[in-house]
Amino acid sequence: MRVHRYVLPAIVLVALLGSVLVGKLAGDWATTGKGDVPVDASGAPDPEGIKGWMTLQDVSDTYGVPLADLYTGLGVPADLPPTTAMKDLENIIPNFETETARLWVANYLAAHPGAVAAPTSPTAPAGGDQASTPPGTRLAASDIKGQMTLNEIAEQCQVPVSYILEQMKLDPGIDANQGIKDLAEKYGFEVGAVRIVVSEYQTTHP
Amino acid sequence: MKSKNPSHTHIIRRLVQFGFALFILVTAARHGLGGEEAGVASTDALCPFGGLETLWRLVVNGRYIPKTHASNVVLGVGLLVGTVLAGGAFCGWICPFGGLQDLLTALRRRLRVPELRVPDKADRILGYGRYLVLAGILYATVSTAKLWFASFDPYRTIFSLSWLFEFNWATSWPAYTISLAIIVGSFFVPRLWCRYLCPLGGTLSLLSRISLFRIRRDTSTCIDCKKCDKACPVRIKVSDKRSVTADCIGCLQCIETCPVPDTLYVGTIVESAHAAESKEGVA
Repeated sequence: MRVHRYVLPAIVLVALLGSVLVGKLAGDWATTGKGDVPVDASGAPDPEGIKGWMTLQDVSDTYGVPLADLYTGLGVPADLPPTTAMKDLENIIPNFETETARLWVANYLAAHPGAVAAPTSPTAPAGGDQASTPPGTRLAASDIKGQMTLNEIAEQCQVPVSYILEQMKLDPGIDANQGIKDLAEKYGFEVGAVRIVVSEYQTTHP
Repeated sequence: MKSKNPSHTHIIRRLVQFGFALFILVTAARHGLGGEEAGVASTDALCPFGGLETLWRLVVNGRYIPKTHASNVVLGVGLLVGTVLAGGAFCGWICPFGGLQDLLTALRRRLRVPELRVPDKADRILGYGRYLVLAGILYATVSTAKLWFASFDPYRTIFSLSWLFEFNWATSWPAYTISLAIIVGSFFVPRLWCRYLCPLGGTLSLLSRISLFRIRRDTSTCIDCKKCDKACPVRIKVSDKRSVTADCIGCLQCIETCPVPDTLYVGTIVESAHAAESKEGVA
């Protein structure tokens, strides 16, 4: 049977694009593993779920490992911000691989069974610039955005403003309704430092 | 006598190739410019070969190999179905790396630089390279549970624009070296990567042997001018075959070049059974 010559490319095009359409309709189309942290049999986050896109802060929040321990255990230079992703560490720390972090966190959790993971997802909702959290739940430190004010952070992360200011060694009379990005520029600190302070508070005040 | 101007098929094919290459490059640029945070797909996530690489771990452990996602499997399945139906037209019409190599060949011709013609015997032997590369990649991927080939893959290196956004000679020099070698080689040898090294091409070549639709030759009207052989970018001796399958990239150049109407045509696999007495052969 003879068919039109364009049948060859047309079939492959339809098959390829059709598979994408079917995958999307079936909800099986995903181009990223973000937000998809597997849990183990007990329902706790499984260290195998640590992905290259996860930042140090994400790992800390998701698995309940204090940032200080994470920095020390993985040999992360202290000057690197907690927003550094695992895949970026692979280019910075010799012989470091994301698998290294998985193994280390697994060992850490085995040695510290009391470690408590943050209750929220390690990632902000896609496309959402402004982090927000439903009443009664606590925003993870990793979800703090630069445009959030100290008051918003205090309210959503459930951390007193005075604690943040004290830990950051900032003037107690500072305007808490200013975005922390603006404050960071004005007072010479990094937004990541606020995340660390909040994370430490949340870890010690679960 | 046929005109030397590009045929409609040629123009349409170039437009389709350009469209897919542009889509991949724009997506890679958006990803590289920070779109990752907004969920823009990476080049890895849009590669059908990633579906094959991650398949073993997915079946055994229910997990994807890092850097691969459901999109890889979806695209892989779609391509598998398309290839079983219509052969390797993906390589000739869609693959951005194939399009880049075609572009280099067109550039060479425009500059009137002669083709570096690989001797027939060497061409046949080198053709097995794709299967070796495929076997090596699958073995390394399964044994390391990593996207092992990513550190060497010239398609990924070029089209992810990593050389632009995160150039790092110290860690990526093998990928840069291989990519440059393939680009230079493809300038002189048409479809160098596709013919001798592409693991996806090797996979599609195996599947194409059973494709439902394929290019066929009517031996009763063929005048053996061998223009089809000269036109084929992957050097299939179309004039020796009745059915062109395994290495065919479905570019339709042979059909476009044939001076006798309907001698080369797209037919179905079923006709093979009725042509047993003719000189049979499979590319």
